[in-house]
Amino acid sequence: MFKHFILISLIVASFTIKGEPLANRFYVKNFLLAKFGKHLEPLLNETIIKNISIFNGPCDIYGQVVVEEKSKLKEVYPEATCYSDISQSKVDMNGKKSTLRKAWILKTCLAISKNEESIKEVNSQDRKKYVESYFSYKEDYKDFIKSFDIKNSKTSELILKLCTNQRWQRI
Amino acid sequence: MKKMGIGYSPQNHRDVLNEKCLHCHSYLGQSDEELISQNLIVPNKPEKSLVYRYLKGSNVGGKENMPPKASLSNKEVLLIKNWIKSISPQTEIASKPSQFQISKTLSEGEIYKRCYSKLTDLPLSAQDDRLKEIEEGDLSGADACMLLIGNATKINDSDIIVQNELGSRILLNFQKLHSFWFKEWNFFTAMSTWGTFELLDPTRTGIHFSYSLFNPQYSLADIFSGQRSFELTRQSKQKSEFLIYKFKNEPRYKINDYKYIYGLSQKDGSYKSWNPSRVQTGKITGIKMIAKNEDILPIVVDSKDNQKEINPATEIKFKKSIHTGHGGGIIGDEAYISLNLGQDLGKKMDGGKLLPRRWSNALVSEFLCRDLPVLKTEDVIQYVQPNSTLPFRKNESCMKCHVTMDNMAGLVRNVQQTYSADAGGDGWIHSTHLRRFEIDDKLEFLKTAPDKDEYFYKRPYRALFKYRDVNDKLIVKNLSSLDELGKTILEIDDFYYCTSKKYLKYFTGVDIPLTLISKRKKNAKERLQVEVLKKLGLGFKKSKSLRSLIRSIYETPYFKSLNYEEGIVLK
Repeated sequence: MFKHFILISLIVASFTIKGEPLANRFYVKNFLLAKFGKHLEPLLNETIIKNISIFNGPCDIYGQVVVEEKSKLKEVYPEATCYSDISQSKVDMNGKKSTLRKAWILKTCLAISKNEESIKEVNSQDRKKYVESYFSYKEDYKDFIKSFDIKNSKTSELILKLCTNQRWQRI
Repeated sequence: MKKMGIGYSPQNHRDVLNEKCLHCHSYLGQSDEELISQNLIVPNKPEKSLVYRYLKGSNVGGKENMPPKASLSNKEVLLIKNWIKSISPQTEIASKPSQFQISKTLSEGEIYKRCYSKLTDLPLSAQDDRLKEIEEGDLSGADACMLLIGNATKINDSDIIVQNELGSRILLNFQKLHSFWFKEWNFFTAMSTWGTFELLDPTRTGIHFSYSLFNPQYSLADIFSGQRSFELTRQSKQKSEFLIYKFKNEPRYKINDYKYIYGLSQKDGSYKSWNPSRVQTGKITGIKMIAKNEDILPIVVDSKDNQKEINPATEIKFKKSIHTGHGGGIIGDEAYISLNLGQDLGKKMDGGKLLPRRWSNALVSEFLCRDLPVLKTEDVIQYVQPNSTLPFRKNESCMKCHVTMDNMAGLVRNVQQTYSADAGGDGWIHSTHLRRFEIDDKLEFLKTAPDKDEYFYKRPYRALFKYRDVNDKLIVKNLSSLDELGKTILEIDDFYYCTSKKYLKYFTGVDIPLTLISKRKKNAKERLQVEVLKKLGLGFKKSKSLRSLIRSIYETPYFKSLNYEEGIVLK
């Protein structure tokens, strides 16, 4: 019940984002890798990169290099892949707000917040400096620290709160 | 009321207003545009204009109590009436520059962070050297953004080469953006699915813009003229083993199992084969001009009844590069015409039902950001043919689109979709290419558009390009080639507004329809949008530089606002 309450609160809180366009899937992936660790690449390829229609960011038809490895097809450059068909090379460059996007971000962030390596990554840094450098814009950082106790919160809570905060998605 | 001036002999409305009205109603001394914006006059309609309706002797059912102590002469009333009648309905309502405030403005460093993330898909590191220069006041955010673009690539001969991983990202993003401007991606593929995709890149229309952006010596005039074509150079740590697929769930075919063929099958069932260069795959490393004689296809196959039956097909000498454009640079690019031709394989244009109208429609939409019709009834009435067998030629409303569309389409009349060979499969690939008929100078020009002309595809032709731009200016030009059409596009303001609008949308999310420019009554938000778009467009028209245009966008209030347009507070 408490878990559901957190989920609902997070979704409702994340409606406060102002400003579009939002980052596309490439930026979302690269940002989360930079902030929470490169080990997250397989997760982010599954939850973000593959969701072209939700996050936008066109595929690159000729960026696709496909080889056979152990009787399976392997895409050498997953970010270039057109996951359904090559008309995805014509999707918008910019992301857009949507409920589905919020849901996928939430799902991704829940996984990151439980990831031991990500927690280690955040703990290895000065917390205040880490949160300050998390946001590109001073205003977003100031608003975040007003609403969340970064000093006394658990690392997993901090990760979830930072990750689901939509301000970083408005580049 | 003051005494009439000595020697008063009014010749125009100003004389009347100055002499009879201004001493009590000084506001009548304002410009026409200002009087319109205050609803004191309605262009071209004296009977609806307050200034006229108040005049004694106007006889349009108004108050008729001015001037209060004496009447105006018939001549004076007529001068006022004629003045209002002469004002064009398109006269723009004068407006003061928009008053607005940005609720949260980005600092110079934050401007750089924004454009960096946008162009590279990466968050900027706090240790970035350029960020330090900005913080020390040695560089502005916008200038830093331009350095990012400028340093992404270098030029070697006429080739563009990325300098590093960051450069590859920036080039890829701009190429994706430029490709996004052009809707079509699917080559005509009644029978060949992936054959054409292996040889022609459907995104290459956008490469013309990318090449000019990264090689500023390649001007807008170059983009819209000539027969040059480009390809993206790429590198990969592994070689792709499979042919391009259209749909993810299609079976995959190994490249090495297939040969490219041309012509008709031989008696023994075999085919002549050739070795065209496939579109490169992997990570982008640059842009290259395709050599004139690259990938010469010796023969194409003329198919009469494409999808159902390709026999009897005939071989036709082709002996041309499959990449060479048809003139007009980007608008005549082989891929752009092929993707937008809208005609079945083997069809020859007849000037009536068969014309590449999809191409000309795409041109208006994608280069000028307009939807047809742009002409008025009065512009087309002379072209209506009451005795035509084609319903659209008899109809004024239809002709408002067709006059613009068909005339342009006629410039591509001599093009035909063909196959390289009459079959594929079982280890063979064929592809679709455009054949160009030679014009037969012995045939005469036609003075009116034909219902059906069996020689139209090779007849000499002059297009009467007729188009009204977004400011309602009528443009009429005689054109006989795609190069001339390209030059004409560069003379139209709509092209500059259109390109500006597209970059503005990418960088700020603000999407401004061109039709907003001619909207008479705009709200505050719309007024600001039009001011910004006009400034960008007219600046771009002056500079003719894609880089200057992009730099101007970094200076717009939308880009500088933390929350883009939502962060602009209008007063």
